[in-house]
Amino acid sequence: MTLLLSLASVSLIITPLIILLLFAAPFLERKYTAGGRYLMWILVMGCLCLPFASFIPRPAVQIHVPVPAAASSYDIRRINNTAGLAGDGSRRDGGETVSRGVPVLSAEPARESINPSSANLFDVIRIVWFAGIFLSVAYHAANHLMFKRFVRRWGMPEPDPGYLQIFNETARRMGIVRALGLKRCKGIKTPMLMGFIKPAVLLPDLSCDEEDLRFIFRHELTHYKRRDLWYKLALMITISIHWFNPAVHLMIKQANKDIETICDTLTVHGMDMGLRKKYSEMLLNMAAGRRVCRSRLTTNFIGGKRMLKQRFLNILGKKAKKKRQGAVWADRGGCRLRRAFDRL
Amino acid sequence: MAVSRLPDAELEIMKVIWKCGGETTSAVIMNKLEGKKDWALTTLLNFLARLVDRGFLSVYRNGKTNYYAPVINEDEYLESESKSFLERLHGNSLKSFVASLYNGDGISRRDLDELKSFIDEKAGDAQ
Repeated sequence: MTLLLSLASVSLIITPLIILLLFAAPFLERKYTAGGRYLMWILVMGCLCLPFASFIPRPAVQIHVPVPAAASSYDIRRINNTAGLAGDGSRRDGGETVSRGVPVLSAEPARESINPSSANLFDVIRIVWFAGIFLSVAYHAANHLMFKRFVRRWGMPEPDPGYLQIFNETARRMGIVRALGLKRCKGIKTPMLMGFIKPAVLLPDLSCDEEDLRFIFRHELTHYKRRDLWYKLALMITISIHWFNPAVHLMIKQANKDIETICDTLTVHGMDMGLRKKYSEMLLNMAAGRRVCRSRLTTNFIGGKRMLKQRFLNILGKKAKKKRQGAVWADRGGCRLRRAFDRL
Repeated sequence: MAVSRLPDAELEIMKVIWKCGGETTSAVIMNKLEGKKDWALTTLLNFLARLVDRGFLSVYRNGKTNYYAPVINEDEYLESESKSFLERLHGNSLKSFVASLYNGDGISRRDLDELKSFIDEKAGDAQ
């Protein structure tokens, strides 16, 4: 019960901060970047998910039950508001069962009927909460396993040696030592990175020129370097625990967008405007390739056109220079955080 | 058109037949599957018979040899399976554990042209 109260309290306390960050985002964008928000979301997730029970203050007010002289033969102890009722109507105080005392007020029969109901209500809330967590985790896990199965059925190791060469070269230039997989998968419409244990980049069954391939690999390998899949896993855990809080759902949606924004920023870091424009055109072509098959995966998404405009503004915008620097700093900050966690 | 979903083993066989590009025999299929699957010939023939029954393959006999040809082409089947898969997958589930280059909706031709102009304009402004 303490855990549930603790998490509910944290959810309640953090919600105004989430709403503030979300609504202030368009204004904060002038000063703070997606990278800054990324770090803030990590902080918010930490607050939401780490056990907070020990930080919930004990109640300052304790309730003393007045004992009339006639009832002094009963052992009525000081009761604080953590004392509950046992099924037989006796009270428990600090683990000791105290016999039912003479009611000071005529409230005792009422107490007998209220407290069991309260206990039942808390039980119901606890069951519903756990059921929500279980369903959320099961839903995401099942869908992920289904997708992995789809990739297993339709994916194959990349057959083109030229593609493999460009992929390995890009990884080497980015300082990635681990040998990552490159697969071609029919049925997917966009390149993607997947796999926590054996990460691999998946390419759709399309032919690309060398320049576009380099952009694609650089983008996906940036996701790998930043461990964005683990970040997304943390987002999923957060939303599973706080499934009842709509503000957390909005936060997750924004955090997912911020991941892409940062990745774009870092992908084009150091590139001149000509290359940035080509990168933007490559993204546009990839989006255009989805015209034939409208995905239902984006039920909750804001829509392709608007999202793309925001990405292009980030990549090409006049004030992008400060944002790009901010994303680089945030990336360094994120790296330091990850190294700190690795040492734990 | 909704097509029934193939089990993994039968899909492997269909992929080999699709790659052959036309009609083929069980001997050719066995040869292509060498190294991938450790099936006896009778096992393969059972799978082929099942695929014929389900309407994925047609078969005719020429002398002592059966020739198998696909009835449904690969793109058609893939589209059916992808659509079915996507119908079972909702919202952010896929985005939960993959990092896509682009995970928004498809865009119309008009939007495509508008965004192309947008890119040209912003790139011009920034230079």
